[in-house]
Amino acid sequence: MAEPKEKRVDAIQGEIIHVYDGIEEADNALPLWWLWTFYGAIAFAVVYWFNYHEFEVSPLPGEAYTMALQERSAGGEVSEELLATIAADPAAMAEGQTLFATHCVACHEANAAGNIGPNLTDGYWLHGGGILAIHDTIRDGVLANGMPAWGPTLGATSIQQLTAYLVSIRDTNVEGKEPQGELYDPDGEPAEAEADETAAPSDEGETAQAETLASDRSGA
Amino acid sequence: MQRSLPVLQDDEIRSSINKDGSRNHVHPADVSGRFTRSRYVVFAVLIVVYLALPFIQIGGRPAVFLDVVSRRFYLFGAAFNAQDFWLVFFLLTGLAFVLIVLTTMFGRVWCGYACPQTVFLEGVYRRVERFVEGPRAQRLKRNAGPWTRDKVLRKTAKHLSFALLAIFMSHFFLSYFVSLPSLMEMIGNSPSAHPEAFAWMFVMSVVLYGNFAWFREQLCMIICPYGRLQSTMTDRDTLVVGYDALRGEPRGKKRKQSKDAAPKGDCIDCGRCVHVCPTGIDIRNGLQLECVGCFACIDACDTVMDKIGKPRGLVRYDSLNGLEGSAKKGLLRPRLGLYLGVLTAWAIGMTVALQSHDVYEANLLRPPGGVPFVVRDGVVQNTVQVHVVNKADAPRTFTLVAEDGAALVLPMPEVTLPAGQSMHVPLLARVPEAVSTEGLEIRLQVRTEGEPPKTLRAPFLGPGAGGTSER
Repeated sequence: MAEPKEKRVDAIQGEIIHVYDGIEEADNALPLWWLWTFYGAIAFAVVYWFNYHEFEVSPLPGEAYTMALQERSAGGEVSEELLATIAADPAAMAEGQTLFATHCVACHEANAAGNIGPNLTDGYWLHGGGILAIHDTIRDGVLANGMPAWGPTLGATSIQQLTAYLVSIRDTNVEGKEPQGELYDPDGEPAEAEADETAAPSDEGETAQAETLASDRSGA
Repeated sequence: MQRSLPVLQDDEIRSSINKDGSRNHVHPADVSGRFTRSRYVVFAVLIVVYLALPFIQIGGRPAVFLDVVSRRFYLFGAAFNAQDFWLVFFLLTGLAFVLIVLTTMFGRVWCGYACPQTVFLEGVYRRVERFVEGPRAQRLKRNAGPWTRDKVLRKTAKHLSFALLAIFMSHFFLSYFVSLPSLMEMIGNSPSAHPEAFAWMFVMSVVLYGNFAWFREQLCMIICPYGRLQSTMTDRDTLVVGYDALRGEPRGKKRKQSKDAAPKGDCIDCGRCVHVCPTGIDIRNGLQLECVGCFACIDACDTVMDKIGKPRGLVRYDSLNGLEGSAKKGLLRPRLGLYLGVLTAWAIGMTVALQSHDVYEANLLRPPGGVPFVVRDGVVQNTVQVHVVNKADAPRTFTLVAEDGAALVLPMPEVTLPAGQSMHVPLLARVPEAVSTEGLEIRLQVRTEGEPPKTLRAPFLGPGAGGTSER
């Protein structure tokens, strides 16, 4: 613990400046490459701090992740015109058909005539039959009915292709599940992007479900 | 124990770092002997293995293929998914433990024989350097001299070779992660077609070049933690590279004429052991963390002993007890018995773990963001998903069978998944409100050919269950 009584100069280590429990400490120069790495790290820290925390030039990893996720699920502005263009592209429609066979047939059946989910080939729609409404329903899902939000899972392009496929089979009237929801009239007023479930329930079932939801929230 | 040995005070011989912290590049002299020969054999075998692994196909896959992008890992015929990542625990602890046991018994043989840093530095880069720039004396002289045409040419040739070797090595390294065919395809394309892979390749090449051309032994001395840990792993019976001070001291030049001079030890202080050292240390100062167990000083000293007609082994591979003439315990050490016990426990743990490594996984999930249950027309409904993962290397069909409990609607009772793929199979549990009680479960069995079925269960949620209702 104490200072060495007599400063010893070790032949290999140089001058011994401190001894503790017989362990000797010398004070030699650090390797220069190590020092420069250290100075480099300090310089990097300054740049990093100003970039991320002081001027917020770049998004933090968490923010960047959220942004990328939003970008992926939203895919920028989706207009009726854009979707119509995609719907007219046979390649996109074929892609959409494959996606449908992979992700949707479980609930809507291979011929889209409905099973757990509604019949997608009739003219009746629970959440709007317009091209934008269909797109948004696929993207955001109807969580209360068990329809997942596919946007984050599939990404914007796939959602658009799926929409294209669904528009192509709309009004083909395949024999299947009884019609649900309201008749979509393409020539009439454009349907609302998505029916507000709690404010304007479209059928009896959804009323009950909205009540259940409300009671669930208050009871929890 | 303080035993001081005379330290070589030769200006020519310094360690790899000067007093002011600047770098002193080590120029090890050529050495030959039995250890050096065996090392080059091991290096050659290891390099062949490293280079051959991506080419060897086992079961239609490369022997070692770490497919990070699709999170599939192929090791000598076995395929692992990201879900099996916990098995890496056994791999890493096993490797570390083997290293510890080896170190306790044989010192730093890993550093001297098998560490990639040594294998490529001594087996490839230093050989190129020796070929282009000549032996140690020539290299020292040329480095100290002016930039002549000859020097410029040789340095250029050397660094060009080093850079090419680094690029070659990083390509091989990358092929472990992207597989050979896709690597070949990438090589044929423009870098802009695969910027990420190209960036990796570029950075890795620069790092490898910098390491082998310039950084070298600094990695072993200052960055690698293993050398620092050796004092905890070695004891007085560990075999190490050591100098027999009893026999060697007092050192000094041998002069036959002066019979009246004090008797000298066998060390003639020729400095060969220091000149051949790749980390620039003097082994006669005792065991040091800088010693990477390369055995060069043993071969060098043996050659000198042969020449002056003294027995070999002044610098030898022996334990501290052996070097000091004390009794050797060899392998009968309590520490090694303990290690054997731990090794047995590790082997049992790994066997059990690999046994439980199934070819498929199945779990019940509730869709993220969904509501726990829906009540419609007096029927309580839970939406759940079965996450099925086919970890096998072939397509596999899974059958979902409802069991006692909540009534299930299974839209996809049978799914076939390609190798390594997973799927969220949707299903609904529907129970009349009156039946929905506390303790009701969603139960189903997942079956697949040749494997034991898995029963999945989750509580059925509803207004009557889980105590959420106040209706």
